[in-house]
Amino acid sequence: MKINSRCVNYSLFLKEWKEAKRKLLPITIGIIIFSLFTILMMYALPSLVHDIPAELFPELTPTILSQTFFSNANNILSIIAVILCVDAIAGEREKNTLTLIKTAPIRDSFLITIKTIVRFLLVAIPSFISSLAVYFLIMLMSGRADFSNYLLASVFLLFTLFLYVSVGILISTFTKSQLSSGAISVLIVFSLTLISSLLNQGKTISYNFLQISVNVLSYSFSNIEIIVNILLILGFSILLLFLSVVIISSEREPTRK
Amino acid sequence: MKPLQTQELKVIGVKVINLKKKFNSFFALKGIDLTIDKPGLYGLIGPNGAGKTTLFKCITGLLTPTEGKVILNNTEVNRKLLFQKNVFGFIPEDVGLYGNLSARDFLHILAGLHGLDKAQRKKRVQEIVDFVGIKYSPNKIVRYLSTGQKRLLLIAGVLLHDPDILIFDESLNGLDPVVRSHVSNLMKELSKDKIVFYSSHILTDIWKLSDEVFVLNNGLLVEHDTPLNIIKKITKNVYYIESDEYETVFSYLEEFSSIEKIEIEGNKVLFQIKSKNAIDESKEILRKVIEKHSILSFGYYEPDLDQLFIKMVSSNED
Ligand SMILES: Nc1ncnc2c1ncn2[C@@H]1O[C@H](COP(=O)(O)OP(=O)(O)OP(=O)(O)O)[C@@H](O)[C@H]1O
Ligand SMILES: [Mg+2]
Repeated sequence: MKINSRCVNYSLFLKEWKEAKRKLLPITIGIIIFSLFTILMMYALPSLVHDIPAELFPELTPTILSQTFFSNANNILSIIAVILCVDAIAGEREKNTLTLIKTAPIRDSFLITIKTIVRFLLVAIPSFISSLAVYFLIMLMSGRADFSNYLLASVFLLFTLFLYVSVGILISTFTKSQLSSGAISVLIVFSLTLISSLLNQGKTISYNFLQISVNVLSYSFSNIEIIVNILLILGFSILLLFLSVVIISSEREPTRK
Repeated sequence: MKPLQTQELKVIGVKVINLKKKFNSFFALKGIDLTIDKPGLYGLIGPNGAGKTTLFKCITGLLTPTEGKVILNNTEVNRKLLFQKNVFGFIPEDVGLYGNLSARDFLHILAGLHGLDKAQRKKRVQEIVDFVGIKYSPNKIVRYLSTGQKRLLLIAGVLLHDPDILIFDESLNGLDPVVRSHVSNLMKELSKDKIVFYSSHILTDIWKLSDEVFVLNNGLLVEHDTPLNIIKKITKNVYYIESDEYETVFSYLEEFSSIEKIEIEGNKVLFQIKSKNAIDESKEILRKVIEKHSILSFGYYEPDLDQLFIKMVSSNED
């Protein structure tokens, strides 16, 4: 019998999407609430902290508010992105369903690609919707805000999330359980965020691609710098995904828990 | 059930050559050779930890052998060969299911994962559901199915792509007698044009169903024959005398030179006769025993299958 590989890949996508779809709404609601909260918090802060005189708090310009949102989003969404990846391979191992995939005619490269795309969509859609919601909130609270720059930052956020999803997928391919996958992922992402925040000053700003969605709001990037950043992000992501494919296809017992 | 494609002359077979599998420093398989070259039902038995699951996983490419090779339908097993995955259908002993899907979606997705397009899929799923005899609503969520219902779903799942070789690891365990006999019948039906290689701890099934039986012990194949021949080999010319005075009968029988082995099982004394004309010899022995002892019954010994199993795997331990 001839194997129709388009059907194979489409069915895998469908299976992944059916499982992911159930999480989409709760994640979207959660992220929107969190995002709006980061902005409202900025307004509430002076009245919550009584020791510091109100004049010492910065004036809440649209740029400051957007920066606040993006740096919070960077920290939290990166964690959410990797957490959503733990079920990719480690979860299937744990639930003993990886056998169904490993005994079907699926190429390992497609397996990893499809799983990555679905998880990226699962975090990207809510993030993008939330960033739009935050934009409208900022408009509402403080008048005009520069939309083109804000949009650029939102798109960059999606790029960085793609990188984080790749990190999560890689970790999920070599761990045996969702718990260990999650623990390792969070640790690594946390360190990455920490390092990139520390590096986010002076000369390193222009190529600090993990913080680019924050930086693009305050620092004016040349076109070359933007392209280099994008290439860096995509390059690292592809490298990580390639590694995942190598790992899963060379394992002597891929379904072992 | 109709094959998905008209069968041309194709080679069906499983060949395992000097297969060894080492986990850390422990050999789970120590050099297995076996050949199955025609459709039929092949049983695999052996004690817990004998290496049955390991053997099945090597055959299906889920485990890479340490040494030796496996050939399915003339091609060596290689995880990279995608077409090979449609040659076999494997139900592992502890397989998980996509619990959130409905039974119908599960089958459609499995069919798709094995390369059936949408038009084929619909027809095929219905055909297999009818063949396997799935009676429950296809809208049921897989997670909520009972063990037996899940098993039928899995069997349907591995038949969708019409594999030549079916490998069932303990697929009869945990089923009630009705479902078990239903599944046995399915396997019998499938074995007409497919190789069905299955393991089970339910020996009556293995003995009743299988065309050939393989016995695995400690990572080695210790026996391979038809069930009848295996029973004969082990219990050839064994007779029993049932008696309340079985101990005295036992010591009395020990004096006969034509008796090779004597054993006590309950209140029965079992003995194996060496001579060529065993039937006459047995009558002669019986006559002599009756003169001195009172007995309850006498006959040709047909072993309890569990006893046979224990005998087979224990005689190879040393
Ligand atoms: N991944 C593994 N790592 C280490 N040892 C393993 C692994 N898989 C199996 N073994 C060992 O290999 C031996 C054979 O195991 P296997 O699961 O094949 O036995 P089995 O015949 O299927 O037993 P059962 O009837 O209990 O299912 C056992 O001693 C087991 O502990
Ligand atoms: Mg087993």
